Amino acid sequence: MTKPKLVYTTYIRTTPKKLWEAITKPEFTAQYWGKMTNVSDWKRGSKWEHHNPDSEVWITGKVLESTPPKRLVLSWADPDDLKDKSRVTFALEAVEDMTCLTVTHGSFKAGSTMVKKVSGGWPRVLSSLKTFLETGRGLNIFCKH
Amino acid sequence: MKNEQFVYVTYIRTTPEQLWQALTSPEFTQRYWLQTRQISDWQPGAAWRAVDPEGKAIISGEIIEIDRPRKLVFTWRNKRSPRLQRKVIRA
Repeated sequence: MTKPKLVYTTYIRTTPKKLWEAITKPEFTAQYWGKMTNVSDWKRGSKWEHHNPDSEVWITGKVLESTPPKRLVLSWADPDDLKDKSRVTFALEAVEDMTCLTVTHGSFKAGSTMVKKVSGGWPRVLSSLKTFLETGRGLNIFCKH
Repeated sequence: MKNEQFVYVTYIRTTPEQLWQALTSPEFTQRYWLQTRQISDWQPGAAWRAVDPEGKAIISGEIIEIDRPRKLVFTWRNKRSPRLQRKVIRA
């Protein structure tokens, strides 16, 4: 069986700098990522955490690579199942008045349950991120669907 | 060779009816789809084509399935790469 790898590409009418801030600053992520926040100093080797509004850690990992506003690579794991580690890469590229964002979620361990957990979530989060940056208001990513 | 398939999912703050309009009305499509107008009477078996501003059909095909405003399936033949493909849009 081939290893699963999720790749999402979207073009957003924004600058790489604004998009970088939308991914890394809690006050922005809260507005489109279902009130969740990404918390870190975003330096290579630092810890990063994905928090819910009660500051419970939903996802944790390390910053593997951080080149603002171009490339951010994170390890990604449920704090209750740290062995099921995977890797997320955000690649940002300016294209005229847009930024092309490619999110790759891969390096899943054999038998990982994370693929199933995130494959429905990324289209919601990235649709909401695009809508937030272009219109100022994110989507309800926890909608029933 | 394995049949390749591309799947894209996006959430849009709109209604299925408005999205359907954006996909099937030439006035809408020319504003976001490389200035092409989608021309068809949107019935099963009907011809479908995307016409550029000079009036040239750059993509053409046939409506396979249509269930407004939920599902649209059509074949897709690009004038520059004439291999026939099938496109499914589900709302």
